[in-house]
Amino acid sequence: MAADNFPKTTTEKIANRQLLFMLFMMRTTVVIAFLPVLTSADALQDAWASAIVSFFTSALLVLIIGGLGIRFPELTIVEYAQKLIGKWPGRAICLIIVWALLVIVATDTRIYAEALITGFLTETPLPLIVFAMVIAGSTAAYSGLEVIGRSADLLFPIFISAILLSLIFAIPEFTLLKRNLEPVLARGVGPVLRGALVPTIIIAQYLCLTMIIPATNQPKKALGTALWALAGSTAVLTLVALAVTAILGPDRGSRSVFPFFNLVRTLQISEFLERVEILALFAWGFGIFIGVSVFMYCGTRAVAQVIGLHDYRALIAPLAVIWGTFSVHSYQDIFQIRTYFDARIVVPFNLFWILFPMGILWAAYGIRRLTGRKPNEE
Amino acid sequence: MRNRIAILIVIIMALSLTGCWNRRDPENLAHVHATGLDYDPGTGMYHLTVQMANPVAMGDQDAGQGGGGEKKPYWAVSASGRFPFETMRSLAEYTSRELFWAHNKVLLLSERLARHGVYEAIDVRERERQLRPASQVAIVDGDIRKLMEADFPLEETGAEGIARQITTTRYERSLFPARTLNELLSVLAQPGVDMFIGRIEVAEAAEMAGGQTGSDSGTTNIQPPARVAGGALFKGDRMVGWADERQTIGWNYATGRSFRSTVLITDPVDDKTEIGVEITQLDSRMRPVFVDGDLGIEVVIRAEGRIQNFPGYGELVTESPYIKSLEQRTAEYIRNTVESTITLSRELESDIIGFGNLIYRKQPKLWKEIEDRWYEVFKDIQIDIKVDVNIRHSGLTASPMAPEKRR
Repeated sequence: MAADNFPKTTTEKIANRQLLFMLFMMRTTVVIAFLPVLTSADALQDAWASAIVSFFTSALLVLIIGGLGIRFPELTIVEYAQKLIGKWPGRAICLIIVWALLVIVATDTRIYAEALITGFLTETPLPLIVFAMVIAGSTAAYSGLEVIGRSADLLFPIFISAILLSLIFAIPEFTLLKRNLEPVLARGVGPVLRGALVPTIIIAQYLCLTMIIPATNQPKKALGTALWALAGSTAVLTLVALAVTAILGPDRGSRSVFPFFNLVRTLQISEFLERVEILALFAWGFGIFIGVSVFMYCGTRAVAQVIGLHDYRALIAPLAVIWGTFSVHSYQDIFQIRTYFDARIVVPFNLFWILFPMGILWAAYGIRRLTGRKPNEE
Repeated sequence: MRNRIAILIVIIMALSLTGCWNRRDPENLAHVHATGLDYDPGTGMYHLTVQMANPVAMGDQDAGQGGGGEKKPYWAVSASGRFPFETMRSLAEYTSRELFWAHNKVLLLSERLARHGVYEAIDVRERERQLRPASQVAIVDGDIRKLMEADFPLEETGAEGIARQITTTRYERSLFPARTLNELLSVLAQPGVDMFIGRIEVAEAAEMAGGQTGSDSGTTNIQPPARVAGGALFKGDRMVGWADERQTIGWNYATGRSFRSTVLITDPVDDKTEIGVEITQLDSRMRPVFVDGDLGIEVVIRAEGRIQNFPGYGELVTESPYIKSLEQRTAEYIRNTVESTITLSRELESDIIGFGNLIYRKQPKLWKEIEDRWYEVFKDIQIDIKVDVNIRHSGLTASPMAPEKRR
């Protein structure tokens, strides 16, 4: 009965709606930030098709990530992993999830900081922006999941309206330049599939589901919630990919460091209304904030459960320092971040995070079902 | 107690939000409103002229005070450098304030620079964060510096003058291929289409304002500082020639971008009478067609016009042969205009209308075959222009006055 040794430090509950907002915002932010459908492969004007394809492939991975969670609706991955494969192997395998969350926080924060430095605050030291975001995220994580859920409730309308407004402002320019979207699918499906690889693999973010599912109101429906979030985010991604490819052109779009940001910079709504990139940046900041707080909450809770700590909050301060430092030091420059998101690097790397722990746990679960033992048994 | 400390911290943090890291306050910046870039092929140097709003003089004008009226509300200054970005920074040697580029309205490139190649000049505008791809681009026929210093009688600053004049010409006459830098960059990157950038002609010195400072009341003889009409054809990033007014309108017709334009036709009944028709709406569609297996292009233009000048005599009745004849003559004029553009385009091997791009978009496989020899194919390709004009209005007067009354 090892699992029961963990006192349930939190009985926090969030609504599935809040989970949806969180998942939607964290994914949308990153997939539109540097628009991997366009920049990571040769999909060019078919990037929107890559976006749609990436929904199906990502959904598959979501099922793998979250499928076990709804079979153990009361337990986090740390708890059910111990039940499935034993106390120490279970704990060890969860460290991979912690590692994944660590890298994801560091990367997301770093991309945001790089965007700010490139576009606005050219002389601001990078650690300042990174730590500002890490401190904000850790404050939210310290306050608990319910608080993050309420922030998501609050920020979601601002987030979505800022993005939609940017897209609406782009309509005149889009109608003028929509010829840049042709020829459609002229080079076969190869480029489309290659373009879908990186956005698919970024779904590793949803590894946080394995920690959040037990905290939702209706854990059994959490998978559906995650898929809806993914669908919404794919819709936004498709629209952004269409707008960017048309307005910047496929070639320029794929050469951009931050395509969506470049797109918004070109918009001129009227003689007096231009420079609307602040909208995109607001949305971006909010999205990163929600993402970082969720990952920090999940990461610290996972670590706390692995080492058998009663209160995860004691870990936030030390882990925040590690996260921030990692974010500053893991990439030398913007080129390295771009290299990291090369399909040949990020795909195997992230696939390992997802498939290695989940593969072992699913196998253990399957064997238990086949041998007739109840999965919930020790 | 803890709360109070927290509130104190928040207040202190809020204080730091009033400025960014290195305190670049807007009131200490000089705002660039127009940029003109020139290139000297002899020395290989770029020359940049910028026009800045002069905050000192502008403030005076707003206050309505006559005291500080000595200063012009804007100031133009030049600097040189080996590459465009260096020229931007070299300006610092001559200006007392740090320059702020985000409010730039127009980007002017000299003919010499255009013939040398513009990529270097526009790459920096895409890369540098303060420069915006939304500014209007034009090629200057004449001395850029003179244009930058010129007074636009109706406007406060020269930059405003240039930007407004472009807009006005574009809407009233369709004489200018108005394109933002953003669109030009995407045109440059796409296959089978070449850049076509509008032209600004600088008025000669003799025509310029005689004495803008000296004359007391003789403002009537101030000549316009510039004329906005025509365009420059490019091949790749190099300019290859000028298009005249009619060829520019032809480009606007073919690409469906014309707003209003004036067409002069002769009366079908009486050859000596000329009738003025204004094209108010125009829509153009292109598609590749195959005639007996040969590739051709069909351009369908639908236009609506209204009679604005009608010195002749004819009954204006719907579907009457007379109106039909007027419509046909207008259509003929539009067709000839577009053909003049295509002729020029073939002559200079600069596919500004983008017929190649059309084939690339609609027949990507075929395009792969002809891509390398496109300009040769373009010279012989059959381009069929079908124009359909509807004249629906005649202004506030229905029929003209009977001829005998005018005698």
